Amino acid sequence: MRDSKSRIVLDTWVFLDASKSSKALLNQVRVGTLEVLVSAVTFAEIYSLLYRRVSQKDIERFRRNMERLDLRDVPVSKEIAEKGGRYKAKYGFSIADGIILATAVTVHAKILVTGDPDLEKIVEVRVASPEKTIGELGLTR
Amino acid sequence: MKPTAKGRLYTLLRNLDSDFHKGLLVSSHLFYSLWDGLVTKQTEIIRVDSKGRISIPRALREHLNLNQGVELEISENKGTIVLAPLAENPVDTIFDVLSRALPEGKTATEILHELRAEWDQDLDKEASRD
Repeated sequence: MRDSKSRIVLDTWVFLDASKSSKALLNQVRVGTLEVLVSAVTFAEIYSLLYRRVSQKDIERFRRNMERLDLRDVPVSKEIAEKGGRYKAKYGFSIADGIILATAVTVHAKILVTGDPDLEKIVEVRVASPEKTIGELGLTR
Repeated sequence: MKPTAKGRLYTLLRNLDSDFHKGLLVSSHLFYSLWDGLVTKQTEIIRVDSKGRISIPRALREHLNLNQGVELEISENKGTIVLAPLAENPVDTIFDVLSRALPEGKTATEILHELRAEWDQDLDKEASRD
């Protein structure tokens, strides 16, 4: 396993943002430069969007290609759920935000990658956009 | 050794004494020669090792330009294993499929906030029922 220096957690935001930086970051995952973790909540959010508007065939195609990226999914354990509830109460953001922040804190992520301004105020873990993450980790585009 | 289907056909035709059957013999010989040529050019026997691995013969790798790191998609079709080079970049495909699922004209932040507001609305509804 890589050390925690290169371990990052991706917020759902990264998958909703089709910018060059988000794509470049996910391409880094593909070549194995980073250890990238994704909360089960993110998968639920993404699939809730896909199942509303996309055919089953495309969902299969999406799933197959996500598996090729070798992302590590992090289930919502009791520890993460409790922390998530605490962060929701502390910051007043959504339960999903709380769980994703709790995931990043629990796995000792170096960066929680998101472009969501709601998460900029948190102090428990470093938060950065995909572009800043690429710069801070010295990754090539 | 047990005679093959091809051997049995040749013997049968040889034993029949007519020009028609001799013609059949020549035709079948030509057919099998062509078939053997095609099969020997395209088929090679490989063995699965103890870990389930196989090696793609070098000539085939070079012919299809399968260099180290090339990803292949493996599937099964009526008892035949199909290995196909993956042409698509997974990241491009992921964003391509997602782009069709996302509401048009909205930023990632707007979509995310709507999605997360749904969670909390559902939780609020549950709470108000109690």
